[in-house]
Amino acid sequence: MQKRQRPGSKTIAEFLQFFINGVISGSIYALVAIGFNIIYSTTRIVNFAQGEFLMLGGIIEYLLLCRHVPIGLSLLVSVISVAIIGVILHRLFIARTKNATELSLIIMTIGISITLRGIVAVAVDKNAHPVKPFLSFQSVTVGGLTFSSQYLIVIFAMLALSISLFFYMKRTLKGRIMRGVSMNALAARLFGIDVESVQMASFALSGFIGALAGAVIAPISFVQYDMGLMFGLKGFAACVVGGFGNNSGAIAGGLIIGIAESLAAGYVSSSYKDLIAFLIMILVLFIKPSGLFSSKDVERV
Amino acid sequence: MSKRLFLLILFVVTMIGGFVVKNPFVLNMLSFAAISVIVVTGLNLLLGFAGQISLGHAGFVALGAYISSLLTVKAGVNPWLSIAIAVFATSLFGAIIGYPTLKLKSHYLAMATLAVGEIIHIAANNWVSLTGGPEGFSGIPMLSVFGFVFDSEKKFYFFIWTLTFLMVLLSINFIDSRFGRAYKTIKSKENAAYAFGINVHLYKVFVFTVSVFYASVAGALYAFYMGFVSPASFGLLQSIDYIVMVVIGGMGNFFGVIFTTVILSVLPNLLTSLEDYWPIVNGLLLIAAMLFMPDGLKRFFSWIK
Repeated sequence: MQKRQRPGSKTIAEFLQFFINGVISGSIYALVAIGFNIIYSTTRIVNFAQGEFLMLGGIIEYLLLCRHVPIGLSLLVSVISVAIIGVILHRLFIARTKNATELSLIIMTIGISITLRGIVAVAVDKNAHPVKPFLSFQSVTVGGLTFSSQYLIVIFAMLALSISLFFYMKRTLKGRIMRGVSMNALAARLFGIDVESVQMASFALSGFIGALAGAVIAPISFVQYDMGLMFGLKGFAACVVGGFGNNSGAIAGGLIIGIAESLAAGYVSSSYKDLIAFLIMILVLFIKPSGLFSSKDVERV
Repeated sequence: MSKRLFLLILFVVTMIGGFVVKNPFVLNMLSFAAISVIVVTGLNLLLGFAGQISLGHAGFVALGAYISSLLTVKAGVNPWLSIAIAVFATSLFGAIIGYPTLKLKSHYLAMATLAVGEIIHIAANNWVSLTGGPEGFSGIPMLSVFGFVFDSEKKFYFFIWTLTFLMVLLSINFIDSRFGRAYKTIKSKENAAYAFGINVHLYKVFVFTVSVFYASVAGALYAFYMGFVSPASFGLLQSIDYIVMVVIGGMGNFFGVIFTTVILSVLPNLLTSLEDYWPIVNGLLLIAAMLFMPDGLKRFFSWIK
């Protein structure tokens, strides 16, 4: 039997549990949102295959783990191969799209997304597969709350990635070039920057981040051929909430959506938790379409 | 040849086809193709004339189907009245979604409709007490006009194709009207459209609502023909199918789109063993169209003015 608890302490523990679950899924949405932003900022393309990067990251890792490849190596191989897939997609399809209007680029990335999902459904299968946590211990207990050890990995991945991305963009030459292209591609071209290869690099980086998100969430959410759809949608919702092209906004947006969703699942109903992200997104589109954390120009047309 | 004359010829051919073909399986397949033609004709207005994309049209079809059949089955409302209510409610819903998103770049509408489609799919699966969940629900009566019941494949074939041709004619008239000219201006030079005093935002909301209207009509007819609805028929892959039909047919090209819709809705019935490969085929078709033929099969239909 448990110790007598002060009234209310159970509900507080429950709340904290939901809250932390929300932070975890929110971190993943944030990573997906950053992936959207990186491609969007250099190419003005919203990559509808962003969720598929996540799915591929999870699937490749799962396939390697099934063949008893050590976890660190599987993770590395999966993120690098998806980065390469990003480059290939850009080279083969995006860069060659005829009369590349916004509509045709959207259709192109939708085509890519459906194809990738279909290939995995046929080549692997349509089932959900469990993946074992990265760390040797299953769970951690903090202050009476018990979590999967994978939570630590997700938090670590999110923090490490956003900090290194911050320094990459602000301090390194390549990052500065990328920012320059995102501010004004034409001007960057006039300064002799090869905009094409910067765009290709942004597909690689975005693939890398997407795959990382998929690989670290796999032990919590299972991997399945169509997992990219929901993660992609919620990542997009996080972008909308945070303001498109704004990476700190994307993190805030991801966390808001993740936490709201987890609280709704805990207190209201878990079968409708997927609604929350979209309700928040539609609401933000009505009230402040430039995003809650953005002072930049509204992307009205 | 003029569009309307060609449409008339096509109509006559389709009607004669209905008398000649005896096989109920074929008639049934063609009736379903007609329902898809209605959806895709609406979607074609959106893609081809407003340059916007909806990834949730199967969801709007589902709303039309569920609302109309639930009103009839659970509330005992007259089927035609239920269809009218369902179509009105779904179109209104479309306008509400379109209003904020169409102020922005086209990927917002694409994502919002993708989300709406998923929400409708989730709701249809989970709201078991109302929708029957994944198993769906049946017992939807046949439609009838003045005591004449559309109770055979043949009768429904004539009914649905007549209606389909009327809907196509309506869309052609729509595009040839003052509205249509406004959309052509918006599509070719949006700033010029502003300068001419065209309220671009409202025009886009309007055409999106019209396309949702087409989808909901198709959905309601689908429900009353099948006598049964389940969420499986209204997933994302179905929405993608509709887009593929428009893109391959040639965005903005009425007859190319009808042609590909009939082919692409009949083909999966004949090649059922390849079911798992359809998404890949669809995806590759979209990619190939954008790489090599952004106008789809338009050039083969350019002789119809």
